[in-house]
Parts: sequence; structure tokens; C-alpha cells
Amino acid sequence: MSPVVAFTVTNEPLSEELATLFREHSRLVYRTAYYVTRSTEDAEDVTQGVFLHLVRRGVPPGLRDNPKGYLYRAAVNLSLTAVKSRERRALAEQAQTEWSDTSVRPASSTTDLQERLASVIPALNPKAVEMLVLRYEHDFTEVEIGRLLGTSRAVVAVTLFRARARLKKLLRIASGEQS
Amino acid sequence: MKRDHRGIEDVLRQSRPPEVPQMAPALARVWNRLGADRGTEGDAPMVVRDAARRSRHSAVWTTAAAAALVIVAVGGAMVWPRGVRVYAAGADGLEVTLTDDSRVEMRAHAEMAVDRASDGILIDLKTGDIIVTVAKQRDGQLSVRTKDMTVALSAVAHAAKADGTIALVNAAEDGSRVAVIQGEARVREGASDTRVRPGEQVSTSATLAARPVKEEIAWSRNGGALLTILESFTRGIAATVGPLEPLRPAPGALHVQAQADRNAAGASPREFEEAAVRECDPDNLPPTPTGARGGGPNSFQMTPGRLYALCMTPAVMIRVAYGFRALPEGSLSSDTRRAQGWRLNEVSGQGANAGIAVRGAPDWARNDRYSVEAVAAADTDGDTMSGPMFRSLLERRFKLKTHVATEGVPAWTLTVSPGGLKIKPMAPGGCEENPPVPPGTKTRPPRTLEEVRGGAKPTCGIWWGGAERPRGGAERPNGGNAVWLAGGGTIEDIVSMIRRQLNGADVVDKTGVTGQFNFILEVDAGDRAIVSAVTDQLGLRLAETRASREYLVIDSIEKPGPN
Repeated sequence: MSPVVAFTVTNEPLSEELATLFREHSRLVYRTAYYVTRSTEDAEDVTQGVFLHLVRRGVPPGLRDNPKGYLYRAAVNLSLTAVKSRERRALAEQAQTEWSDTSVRPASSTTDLQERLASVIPALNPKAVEMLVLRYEHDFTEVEIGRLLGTSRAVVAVTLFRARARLKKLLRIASGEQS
Repeated sequence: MKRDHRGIEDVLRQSRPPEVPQMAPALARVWNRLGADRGTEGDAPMVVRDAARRSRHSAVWTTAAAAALVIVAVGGAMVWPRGVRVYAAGADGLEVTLTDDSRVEMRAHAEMAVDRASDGILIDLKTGDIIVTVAKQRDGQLSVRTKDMTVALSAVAHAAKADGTIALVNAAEDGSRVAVIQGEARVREGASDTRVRPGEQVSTSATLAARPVKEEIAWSRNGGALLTILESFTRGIAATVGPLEPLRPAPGALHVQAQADRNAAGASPREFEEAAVRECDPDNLPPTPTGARGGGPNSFQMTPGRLYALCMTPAVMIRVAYGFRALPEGSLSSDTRRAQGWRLNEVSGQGANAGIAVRGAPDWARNDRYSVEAVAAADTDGDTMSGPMFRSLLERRFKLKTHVATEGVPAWTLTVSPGGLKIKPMAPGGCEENPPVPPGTKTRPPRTLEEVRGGAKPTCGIWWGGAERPRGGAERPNGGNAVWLAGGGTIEDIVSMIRRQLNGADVVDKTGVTGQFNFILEVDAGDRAIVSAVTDQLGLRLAETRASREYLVIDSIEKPGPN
């Protein structure tokens, strides 16, 4: 079951501002969601969720200051929620299986590695995920990331460094190695 | 060399999806759906629709747009249009967010209506199962009414929990049932009023069989995490604990006599009826579910009539049984006792460290792990099981002997400096409320230190370093200094900050100061720099005194024999 959001019906037209926001940022939102969720359906739902909140609640003041950063953060957070929700459902379905069935198999190919990476990214701090996706999916520099997220380059560098270290550790655990 | 050991940056770049399939049509569908629900489909820049997705999403919205009195919703989540009745069609159920941010998860084929009541919000459950998660910060009351009972749900479940009460309510032909997962519910049935706590159930009809809460929530998409932890714990216990054996009376007529006296006096028995204690294999410990604190080694759980400890060290078991807190090394807190007992049906991760409140244990008692399963009468309450009964079991099986000792620790009193307060009461509206943000997104970062020093109003609340992390967050040094930025901070907030800087030492507020203040407090890295900082910057004075605290000394403990 994917997250879908419906809302109180009104007859106001979609505002020009929303149309502009959608036109300029929906690709960033979708691509970010796809990077985190690795699912086209979830990416579509996340994109829908992000803009639907704007439709229903109007454009918040914080968004006008930095629309790209606002929508990007919203996309990452909704994506993480979608992934965690998906994992919970999967775990619940596995609940009756034996220990051996729940163990993680070691990596043997690039696809495995990608899958494992995708599976451990949600375990990171959302702020770290925001920076990680900007850095490695959207090819932002640390300065650009800092500008978008309203923080300093040093904070970005430290957060990325820690995120990479944590990812390494999580990947080791996921591949069954002793740390 | 495995790939993981290569530069993680290479891995991250390799894992980038080469292309995002079908992005354009997906965005077109999203735009169309946004437009369709606002009655402006003509605004849509692209008109590409996918039949499968339309059936899943747009059917809901089209129905909503028709403003029908009954909404039939398939597999999704809704922000609730009040006053409209909803029926969860399909097999997946429906999630509803109410106007106060409380959430209702409907099981497939459940039907309910939401409306305003004189004291808050009333959910009228016609049929089926719903799980209600009450928003913690809300006004008024949230009630669920079925044909034969009304359940009032509390907004406050636990200070540390993000949500209020979580309860499952079922309305069937034969009657109604409520099961509480977290928090507390009051059930009104005719003239009777019953309080229901976590793990407990109440039904209005004897024909409705009570079922374990985990079975009750198995259908919930959000029950997965709880269920996973619960299942993991159960499997761990099954894999590590031995068979149950009746507990023989402890040797010594005094004990037997005391037990007989308690029984004769009608007091609840203080011994488990059966128990199993077995050492865990350190090389084959059960795993902890990803992202969970409980469910793996050093987890503890009680269910009605049962107590489980999963691969816990004896020192931690002793801390739990004797009701001490897990204070870290170096803590100066005098409050070593737990204020609350442990709840039934909750799996709690206890950590491997018994803390400084339990002393004198040999190394093995802090490192070796044991699983325990113990059985008591089904109506035994959690405090009795985790307290006197667990203590008795440990004393019996580990030959445990202990005594409580006290020691002095530094404490402080806070008064106003002779020169008077240096902070002024905040004027009404003197801090800036963080604007509401869409669910699922993070709160907007507060005003930074630089902005506030530049004349901007601070964001309401207590902020570390003036940015990003609210109370309880990690410290953000400013050039090596710790900085607090307060918008509407109270003297209690200041006491709390000082305690944190002084390793949890007691700070008694004798200022008599009330009200809210905007202030910036910057403290350098020195051990007791806070003492001079509050004087210089806030006009408060800290005077050192002493407090006493209790701790538990293990006089003797032995490894348990076979069951």
C-alpha cells in the first residue's frame, strides 16, 4: 500500500505560484525520491505528497525563502518515510520465517551492492541523507549543498564524512562481516 | 578485497540509478491529479494517465470531488474532511489524518464518521477495526463511539513518546472491543467507566474473545515495527531460554513461613511459579532488528503473567529488578531510582551497561548473558513481577545478596546574584513560533545565533548553538563553546541546562523567578565554566552543596546452575 494523500475539496484553481514550483522543482523532487526509494511508484507518490501539501496548506513562508531547499528536504523526508514503511511491511511479512531466512546474504555483484546501499541509506540521519543525495545523485559541491540547505560548507563536509563512515559500517554489517 | 572496502564515494557513485524511468509521465500524472482535485484539470500541462495508477489514486479523489456523503477510499491516506463518512474499501485499508494531526488507520471494510464534539473530536465507528494514534499536542479530547461504548483516548502517553495514546477499537455485530497499545483509554459502557492500560483489552460482549495485542494489530501497516520487535524478541527467547521448571521453595523455614503469611493475609504471591534461566552463547546472540533499541540482547519484556529477559547480563537484570536507573559513568545525579515501573507488552532495550547504580559485581556478572523466562499468575501486575518477584528469582537462582548504600555527591543551589538578574522578562510575542510544516518534513531551522545577535527575534524554545537541534539534541559548539539560544526560556529551562553541564548534578531552584526570558548563554569548555557563565551573563548565582544518593552493592553472586 503506497502513501496517497487526499484532501478537502475546494474549487480554487491551482495557483500560478504552485505551477511554477511544480515546473521548476518536480524533477528534482522525483529524482531525489527515486534515488532514496528505488521505486518509481514510491517516487511518484512522494512527489505527489510533497506538492499536495502545498495545494492544501498553501505555500508556507519558509518555502518562499528557499523553495528548492524546502522541497528537496520534504522529498528526502517523505522518501525515507516511504522506505521505512515499506520495510516494516516486509518485516511483518517475514515475521513467521526462521532466523536463517532473515539473514542478509553477502554481496556478490554490483546490483547487490546497490541494493544493500539503498537498504542502509534510510538508517542514516535524515540531514545526512539530504546531503548525501545532493552530493552523489545531483553532483552538488559542498558549497552548493550548504547554500541550498542553509548551512556552512564545514558542516556539510563533516556531515558527509560521518555519513560515509556510517555507511561503510552499515555495509559491512549488511554483508555479514565482523567490524 | 570486497567492494565495500573501496572508497565509499565510488560505491555511492556506482549506485546512482543510471536513469529515472518514466519520470515525465509520472510527473504528468501527479500534476493531473493535483489539478483534478482542485477542479482545474485544464491547467494540467501534460495529460498522460496510467490506468492502473488512476484506479489506485484518482478514484478516491474523484469520489471526494463529487462531495458525496460517503467516501469509499482504496488503499491510501487521507487528510480528513470532517463530517464525511468513510468506508475503507479494498484489501489495504486506509490511513486518515484528522485536523488535530491525530491519525486513524482503518482496516479494510471499516466504516466510520468523524465529527466535532463539545469536548473535541468524536469518531463514530460503525463497523470494523481502527487504530487511533492521538496527537500529543492537541486541545480537547478524542473519543471513539461505537453502538455500545465510548472510548476516551488520552493525548498524553509518556513524556518520551512522540504520540499520545494508541488504541485499537473494534466494532462488530456482537459488541465492541478496545485494546490499548500505548497510553491510556477510558471506556464508558452504560454507567460503568473502565480504565484500560497498555496490553489490556476491554470488550462489551463475552462472545468477543480476547486476543493478544500483536494479533490484533497484525493487519496494521504501522504495526509492522512493533510486531517486528515483538517477534524478534519472542524468537530470541525461544532460541536461548531453557524449559520452564517449577520453582522449589527456598530452603529455610523463615522464607516458607513468610510466604505462607503473605498468602494467608491475601497479599499477592511474591514468587514466580515457574522459571527458566539459561546462559546465552556469546557467539550466537540473537540479532537486534535494524533501527530498534529493543528486540535483541539485553531486551526485557513482560506480558500478562510472564517475564522475559533476553540475553541480559545479571548486573542489568539486577538494576531492573531493584528499580535503579542506568546512570552513565561520571553522572552526579542523586536520582538513582526509576520513577516508573515497566509496562506490560513493551519490549525495552536495556543496554549492556548496568550503570553506576549497581556496584560490586564480578566481571562475569557484567559480561555474561542469560535469558530468563518466568511465569506468574495471569493477573500479577508488572510492578510486582519486575520488582519483588524478579528480585526473588535472582536471589534464588544467582544466590544474590545485596545491600543499599548511600554516598554524597556535589549539588548546587541557584539563586539570583546580589547584583540582580541580567535577563529581562520576554514581552508578549517576543519569540518567533516555528511555522507549521507538512507532515513528514522537518521543522524549519530556528533563527541562528548571528540573526538573533543581529536583532532578530529568537525562535521559541531552547536551542543549542542557535540552530537546528531542539532541546535534548546534541551540543553544537560555537568556536569550542557551548551556546544556548532561548526564546521564551524559563528558569526551569535554565536549571535543566545547568544540570546538563554539571553531569546531571542536582540544581535546586531558589530564585523565586517566574516568567519567560529571551537570552543567549555561551559557556566555554571548562568543567565548571557554567558557574561563572550564569553569573556573568544571566545574573544568577550557583552555590555548591551536597546531596546523597543511593546505590546497590552486590555482596555476593554465583553463576546459576542448570534449571
